[in-house]
Formats: sequence, structure tokens, C-alpha cells
Amino acid sequence: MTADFQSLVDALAAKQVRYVIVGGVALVLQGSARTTVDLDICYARDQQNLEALAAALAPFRPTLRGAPADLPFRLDAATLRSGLNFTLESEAGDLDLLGELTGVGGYDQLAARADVMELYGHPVHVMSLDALEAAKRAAGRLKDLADLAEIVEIRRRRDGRE
Amino acid sequence: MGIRKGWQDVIFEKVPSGVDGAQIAACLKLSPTERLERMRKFMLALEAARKTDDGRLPKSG
Repeated sequence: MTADFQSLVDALAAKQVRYVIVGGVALVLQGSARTTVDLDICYARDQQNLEALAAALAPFRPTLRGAPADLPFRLDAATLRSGLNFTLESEAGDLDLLGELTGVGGYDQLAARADVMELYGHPVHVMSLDALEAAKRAAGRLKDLADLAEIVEIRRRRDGRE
Repeated sequence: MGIRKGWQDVIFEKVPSGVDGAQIAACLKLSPTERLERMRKFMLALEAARKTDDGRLPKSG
């Protein structure tokens, strides 16, 4: 199921959640022609933001992706505090909550270098091309090669070299 | 943020990336919201096609 990106972004904005869009959606927002079905965000881990994040997502009834249906799970600030990265499914689609990205860092490091874009009428922080490149290189998987090649092409076209 | 070159660059030097520059150019002409909505609609069309008997994309218009 492809995520309902607008509903998720609207809900996060309504609760003033501090986050940076990362992963495939960040690549698309930066100009990539790739596809993805879920929304990945890196979130600030202070108590106020954890409460805001849990409240924003509550209407979508998030559960752990791939977990047995009868496994009790409640996404609240305490749950977020006790973990770091969560892969969730919800009524608005799949959503990954990341406290940290390998090779890049946490919310503060990402937000400091993020691009601010208008998305569905809200200003949102989006992982920069440089940070995306660093993360793809750090991940070191074959599938990241295609993304790295696209990043090079996006940069070349933005710089007017083509 | 400095980017250190890695094993990937050795591959890029020897193998063409195959990236479709025209697709990237088309995406860059859109606003961020338009980029995401274009991708989302494509994925929704794929999901719809998977639900049909023959797996073909539904007719538009």
C-alpha cells in the first residue's frame, strides 16, 4: 500500500512535530525518478517531540510492521523513548521512524543541513543531497548504487552542466 | 559535509550508470509536492493493475 503522504505530513504539521524526511521520499523530493511506497522520517528525541509524534500518528492506528496481529503495541512517548528505529504500518500506509541514520547522525545533525521545502502547503525539512549521498555510501549496499548514480545526475543538472 | 570516495566510484568509472537524465530533468521542473504526487499516482496505478485479473494498467480517461 502506497502511503497517503499528504495525510501524514498534514498530521505531523498539525502537532508541530520536528522531523526530517529521509530515504526514498527525500530522494524523490530532491528530483529523483525512483519510486517508494513508504515515508521515512528522522525525528527529534526530546520528550515534547516524542509526545507530539505519538499524538500525530495515533489517528492512523500504527502497529509494528510484520509483527503478529495479536502482539500488543502502543505507540506513545514511552515506547518511542525506549526504542530508536521503528518500522510501522498504519491506516495511512507504511512509515519508518528513525532516531538515527548510519553515517549521518540523528535529527540535529540532519536538520542542520536539511533543505526546507514546501510540501502540501507545509514547510518541511528534507534530507539534503549531500547527506543522502553520505548515507547511501555508508549503507554500502548494491541497491544504493542506483540511488548514488541518480544523485550525481541530479547534482549535474542542478548545476546546469547538462 | 565532505564526501569521501568509495568502492562505488570504481564501479561508476567502469560501468555506465544507465540513469535516465530526461526523467530527472522532468522531475526537477516540478514542485516538491508535484514530484511526490506524480510518484504516488504511479504507484497507485501499479497497485490497481496488480489487482486486475491480467495485471494490466487500467485504461485512463
